Amino acid sequence: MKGLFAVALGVLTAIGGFVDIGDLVTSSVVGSRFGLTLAWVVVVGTIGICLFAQMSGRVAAVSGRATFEIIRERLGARLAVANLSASFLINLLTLTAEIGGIALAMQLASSIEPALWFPVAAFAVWIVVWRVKFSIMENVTGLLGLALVVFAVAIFFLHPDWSALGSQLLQQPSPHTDETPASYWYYAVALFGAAMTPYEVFFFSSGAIEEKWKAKDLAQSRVNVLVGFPLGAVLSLSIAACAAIVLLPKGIAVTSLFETALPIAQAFGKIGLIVAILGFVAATFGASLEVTLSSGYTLAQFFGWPWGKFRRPASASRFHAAMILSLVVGLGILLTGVDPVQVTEISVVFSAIALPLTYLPILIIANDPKYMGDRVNGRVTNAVGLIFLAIILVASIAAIPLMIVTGAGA
Amino acid sequence: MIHRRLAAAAVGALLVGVLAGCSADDSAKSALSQSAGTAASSARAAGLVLGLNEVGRVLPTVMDTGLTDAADRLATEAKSVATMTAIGGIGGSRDRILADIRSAQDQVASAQRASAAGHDSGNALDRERRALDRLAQQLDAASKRLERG
Repeated sequence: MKGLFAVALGVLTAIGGFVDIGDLVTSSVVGSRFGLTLAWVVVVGTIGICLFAQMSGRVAAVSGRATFEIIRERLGARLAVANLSASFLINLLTLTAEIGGIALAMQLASSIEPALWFPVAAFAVWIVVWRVKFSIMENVTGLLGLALVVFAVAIFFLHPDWSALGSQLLQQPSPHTDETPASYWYYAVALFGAAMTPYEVFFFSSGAIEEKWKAKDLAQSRVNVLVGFPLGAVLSLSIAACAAIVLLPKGIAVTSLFETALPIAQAFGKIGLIVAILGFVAATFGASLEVTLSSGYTLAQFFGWPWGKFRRPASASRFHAAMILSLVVGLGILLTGVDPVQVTEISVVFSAIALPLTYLPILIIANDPKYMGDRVNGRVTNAVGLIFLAIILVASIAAIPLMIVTGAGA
Repeated sequence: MIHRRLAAAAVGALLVGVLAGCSADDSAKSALSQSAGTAASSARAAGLVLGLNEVGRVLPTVMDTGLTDAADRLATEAKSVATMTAIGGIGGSRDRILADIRSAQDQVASAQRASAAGHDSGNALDRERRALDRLAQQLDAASKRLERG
């Protein structure tokens, strides 16, 4: 019974923790501009993140060592520095977007402008990372994030034309919009980047060590990933579907988090909005905690500093200092007056650009018997892994030209 | 021989000039069309918020955020259109689009004032909502006209 509860909790946490500001913004932007024509990208991205997380969780559980420590040892300092730089910079950009996301969600709850919420949000993230136990932090935000299920339920209450909605799944850019093929592919890359943000993988693999996973825990981790992540992706698709049903026909292209919430107001009114805002806050706050920790994990693991929330902060001072520094830099970027939604859009595209540098080392180590023993990737995993390596390379190479041609999707 | 080279160079220069002119013209039209499209979307979003408020389906904080957001975006587009150089015969379109964006700004500001004063229940803001929907249609039509060239 206790084991079943642990599995259920892990799956629910994975579902609730899957969506972050990148998914919230990108899914609703895409839904409002392209309908469900890009839903296939969410499916591809979700298979990719399942594969990526499952491999890195296995590396951590089997070797009992941190991912970045192994990367530096196995691939040499030069390649490891490239991996660290890409990962850390994307983390910083993502952290900036997530703190901005908390502020935008709090604005919906309070009418107080986001600039006043930025420092409060950053401080709250730091306090939780400093004081709260890893498992409590992960489970509470993950479970509260389940409030976003309101988007999935809203689809039924919005009484869509099901055949029209279904037919969008098989179409190329909607004939009802004036979007260009370049914009379509730019947002395909953005959605892919939003689904495969590297911090989720660093958090997942370092979390395996925080929670002292052993090889025998791999089955539960596999269930969390293979059930929780796809169900989390259903939430992303539901957000896109709500935007496609309500905003696309009205010609409203999402540029702000409040527009993401409008379909919920139409479906359920004020109560639904309260639930959605709770979901926004939980999703962005939970993701901020994960990205902040990931920033500390990447630096500390690379340089061999003591790390982890299982240690007292005084025993892992450089790990905590790295997290505080990341929060300060993210806050500084937001206080320059940049639009958090634009930061989010840029962060997901840059996630896609940097993906080969973060994905390839994990794929190499997951095939190395020196670290993995008989738990190396099987043939099927390797075949899918190589297909994804090709997809990731194409997305990474195409991202910048598409960004230039479309004016960042404008 | 020299004449032929000079003629070829002149034709080349003319071609470059025409292409550069066309390109600048297209780019101005595209920027104006994009501004009109963005303003139309913001006006529609504000209209939708007011419509949801009429039927009691939106929280005051969300309405306030929505109107503030629409006001900010309309102000950005108004500033961008006002500073556009009227080349390629888009002067007339630019002035009409700017007037529509400023009217939309006025409607949003009127709704914000009424909301702040607590006069926003029921269909008190119906006039603003209808005006925003109409302006959004005009802006959208202008955007599409410019796109078609």
